[in-house]
Amino acid sequence: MAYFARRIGFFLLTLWGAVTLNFLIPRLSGGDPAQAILQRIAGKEARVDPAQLAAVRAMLGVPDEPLWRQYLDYLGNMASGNFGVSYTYFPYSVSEVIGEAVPWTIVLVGVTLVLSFAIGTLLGTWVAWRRGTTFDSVLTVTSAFVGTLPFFWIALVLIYVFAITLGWLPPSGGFSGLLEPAPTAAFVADAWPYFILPAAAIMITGPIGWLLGMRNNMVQSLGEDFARFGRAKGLSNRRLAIAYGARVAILPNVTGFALALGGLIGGTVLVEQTFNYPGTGRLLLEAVSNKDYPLMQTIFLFIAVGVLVANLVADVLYGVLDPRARRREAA
Amino acid sequence: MHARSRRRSRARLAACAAAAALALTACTGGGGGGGGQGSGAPGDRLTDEGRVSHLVLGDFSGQTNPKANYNPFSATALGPLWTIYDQLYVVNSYDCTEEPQLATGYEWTSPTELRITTRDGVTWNDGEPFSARDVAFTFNLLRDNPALDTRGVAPGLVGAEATSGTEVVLTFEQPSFSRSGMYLQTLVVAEHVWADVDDPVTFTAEDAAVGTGAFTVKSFNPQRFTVERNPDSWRADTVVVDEPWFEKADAGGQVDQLKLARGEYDNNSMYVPDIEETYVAKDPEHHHYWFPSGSPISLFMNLEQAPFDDVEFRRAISVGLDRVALTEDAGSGYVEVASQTLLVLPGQSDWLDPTIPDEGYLPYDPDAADAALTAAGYALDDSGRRLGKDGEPMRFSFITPQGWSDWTAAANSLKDDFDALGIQVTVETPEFPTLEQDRLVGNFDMTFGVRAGQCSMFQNYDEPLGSANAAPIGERATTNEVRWSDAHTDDLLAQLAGTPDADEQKPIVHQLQQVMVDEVPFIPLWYGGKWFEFTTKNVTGWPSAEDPHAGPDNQHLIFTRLTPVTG
Amino acid sequence: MTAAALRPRARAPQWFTILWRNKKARFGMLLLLAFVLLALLAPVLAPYDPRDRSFAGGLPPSAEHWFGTTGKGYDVASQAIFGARTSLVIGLVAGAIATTISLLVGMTAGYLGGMVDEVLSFVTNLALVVPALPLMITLAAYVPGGGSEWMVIIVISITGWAGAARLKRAQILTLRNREYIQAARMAGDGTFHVIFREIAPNMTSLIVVGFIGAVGGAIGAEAGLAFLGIGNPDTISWGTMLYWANTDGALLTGAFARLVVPGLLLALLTTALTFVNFGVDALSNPHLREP
Repeated sequence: MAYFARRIGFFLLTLWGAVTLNFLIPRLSGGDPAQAILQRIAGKEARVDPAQLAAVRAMLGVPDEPLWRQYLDYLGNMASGNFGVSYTYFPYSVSEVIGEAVPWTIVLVGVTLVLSFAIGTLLGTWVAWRRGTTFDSVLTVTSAFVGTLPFFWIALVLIYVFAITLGWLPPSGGFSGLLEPAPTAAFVADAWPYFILPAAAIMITGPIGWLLGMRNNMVQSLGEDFARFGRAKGLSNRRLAIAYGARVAILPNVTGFALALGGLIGGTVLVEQTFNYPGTGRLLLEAVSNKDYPLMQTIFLFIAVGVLVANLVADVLYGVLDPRARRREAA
Repeated sequence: MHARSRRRSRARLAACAAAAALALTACTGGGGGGGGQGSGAPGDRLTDEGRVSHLVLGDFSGQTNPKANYNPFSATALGPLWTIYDQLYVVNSYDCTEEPQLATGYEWTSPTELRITTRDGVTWNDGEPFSARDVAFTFNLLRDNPALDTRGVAPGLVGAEATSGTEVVLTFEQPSFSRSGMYLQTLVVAEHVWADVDDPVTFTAEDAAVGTGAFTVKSFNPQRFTVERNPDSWRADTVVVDEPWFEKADAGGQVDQLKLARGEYDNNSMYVPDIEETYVAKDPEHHHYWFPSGSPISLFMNLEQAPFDDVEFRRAISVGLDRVALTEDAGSGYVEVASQTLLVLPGQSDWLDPTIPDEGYLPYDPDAADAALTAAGYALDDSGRRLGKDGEPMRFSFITPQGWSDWTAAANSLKDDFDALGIQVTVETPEFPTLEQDRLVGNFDMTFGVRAGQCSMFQNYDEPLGSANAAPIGERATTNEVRWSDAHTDDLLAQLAGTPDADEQKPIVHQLQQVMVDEVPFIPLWYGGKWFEFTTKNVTGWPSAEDPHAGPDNQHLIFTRLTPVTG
Repeated sequence: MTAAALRPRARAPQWFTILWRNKKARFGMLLLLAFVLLALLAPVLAPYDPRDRSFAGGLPPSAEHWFGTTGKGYDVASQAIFGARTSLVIGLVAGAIATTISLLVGMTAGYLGGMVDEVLSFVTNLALVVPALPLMITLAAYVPGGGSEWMVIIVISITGWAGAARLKRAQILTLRNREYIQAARMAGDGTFHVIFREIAPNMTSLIVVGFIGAVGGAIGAEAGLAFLGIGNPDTISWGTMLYWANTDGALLTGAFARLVVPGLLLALLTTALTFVNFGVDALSNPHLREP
């Protein structure tokens, strides 16, 4: 019981810390959101009209209050779900803007995460079972190498080959623009080709972490005493692999999966930026470069909550799945 | 033993491969995204009425996932609102002539009173008649809501009043001819729609994009904005396009360049590296471009710091910079070297002071610069470093926005020029908002600045040189970031503000040019390029170097002067 | 018998033999050596000065320019060779800083426990929660000297130490209750003495794995930041080469070499480090050693 209570307490405290950090960091760097917005509108080489600047500042109502007052307001707003109005997308609210982007990220990252996890874990188990063979070496080496390829490089190569040279798939974007985004079958059919390249780019390196992790863990657990005992007892190899090896080895991967889920919203910045995919990752990048405090704060908040909740779930899961952890903690 | 698991995994792999193959074949048919409009043949899009069915145009918003905002005064409004709303006059950005739109005439009856005659017989796109009352309402709206006044129309405006159905009188606190162009270019909105709006600042006019313009809103989604021709607008017969389509651009730029190269855009304004090869060569008959000169981009030196406060130093430096190399670094050779007079030549050559040699173009003469620097008291020491008057080697930082790669390249080219003179310069690239802040409060040694290039000569010289626009270091200047403060200049500017007559203004502007050339408050380096690409596959009549009938940003003019191609 | 005599020796030259026997680690070490040589001998190996812009832009690969020239007229091969320096230096320095921080934080938290542990774990969790890339982008605007390599190094270090700190703390927790440690404490050795003279040597392989991983991560992070256009796009690194390839229209004109070369080099260097890590892993986990 104490184990779970401590975890929850920790969670709340860290949440507070993360929220405070999210408040401070954007403000520390100074700079004027109005300027950022304006230059984006005016274009790079155009002179920014001081009248425009004054107008934008008046519109945004950038606060003059002392920092601590702003901080208290911020805490209150975050707690009540009043996330304010975005600077970049004025006068639309932050909730509305994020709400539009979230489904895209969830679909893209959710699907690829689950697939990567499944494929990686299965392949990892298989490879660990065949450890020492050529198959093991080839797969491990290849996947290690592929895993080091810079993600955006893979993306560019895919775009070059499939979109530009062959023209089979669209090079960027989330949908064609012929239809309004809506949860209808027609729209899904329209948006589906845009999903393929980003998903492919993620799936090329995605399973590798799970694969190598699972392999190492399984090799570890198969070498442990209880596995040796099982083999000595005469258990079939398959039973050994699954019930003794995989079941133990998968634990870190499961917690890893929970953690990865938590990082869903923030972890996709590079993907979405390279493919111009309309998700929360790209939105975050836009918010940061525009000094759009309300939008930035809220996305950071979601990410922080997501990661912390996932951490909590992972710890709880670990406590449930592995009795040793609970006992260890009590010791 | 493990055979079954192997088989199972193999089956899984096979299934995945099959699914992938299916997915790909499903896509090959469509030619990938974008509706596959490709280019087609000339005359393909001709409709029965002899118009063009659609034109594909460029980006419509600075946001990555745009949301609808048809409020023309909002800072986050969509770009192509020129399709829906009209101005009183359009000022041709190439030759500065004024073209009547919703107004047919104007007169400054006194230095503080502007009388405008509006056009008769115009209707709003919801059927209501347009009148001078709408114009008066618009100006008063801007006066009452500073957050909407993105043009700076309101300061000094006492009020606007419609004295009849076709006449509006604007009253100002002070003589305001110098800002005449600004008032005339105001977009007009409908009183009967806006009068009932609670908060005009957050009003997006989403269901009520009521304007007098040539088009009305057809559809909007974050990827595409479509407007359609309004057959009842006051100049419907000059509009030959049924549906302009605006397509969201790509952040990376390369994909957009690809679409441009394939001829998928009828018109766009994007920077393209090596345009001859990547664009023109793909279809030399139809693909054209025109990059007229825009505002000059200048070297700003912080005049409150030594040695920049020494006019001899500035004069010496002004001939030690290789501007031609800059045009190659900053604009791939598409842009032109700027004149020290601050005019955009040759477009504004009417205003040029004939007594200034070479039209104000300074030569690149590093030896002369070196000699002049030494003569001014900045000698070289034994290791080739130039010493300031305090005996220390000169060392400055040059700030330029992060990510603006061509400006960074230009900054590095300047750094090399300074290096050759023995002055050490470090190029720093802070993020844009931070840099802007630093620039405005005077926290910089050297940086780039973009001023002038407008049709209002007063604005061109007043903004960077008027002492009222400066501020002490540490406080934000409005537009005079270098902090030039000179009684003679202020006097000239005051004179300029007081005369509406171009002939009277010219001698004053000549003297201002002399200030630029003699005192060198800052150094214009190159003219920013206005990128403009177009195809003549579906329509002709675009402005070009051979036929510069409008500037690339005068869409109200351009889109009423096109002719369909009949194939 | 003193505690010192009972202490298992983890720093024997035996480690090199184990590493060398591991085929992957051997390959990794050789490849790493090749890169280090490439970086050190860059002025000798590169055909031109990497900042020499006198060539025409966008040339295809030829005898004079093995991989062609970039859109702005730099020789791709020379840039690639000199780029090794930037990547290695930034990787090593950022990796070292991040590892040092993770070592100090993780070890202190794990060993001292109690309030210190709570506070340090709290800080570590915070550092893990804030998303790395956006934090880097924001920090890049705040850290002075915007655009310099030091800013990139600092930013990467600040965002990169937390994961390793957690691991080290976990490791220390298991070690701290071992008998020889208890013996050392009872003998009266001071806290820092115990941490760094008794425990650390047993954690060597974890620390080394962590360091090598941090270096690899830093190299990748630098490339990612450069690709997004953060930092000075005029530094010569593989990441900025990719950035320029993207903005200069390399994809459009089919200048594949400009794209492939820096990407492959990045991957190879990181692979070398990963392979070495495979070997170091084997040091601590005999099951993973080559038979």
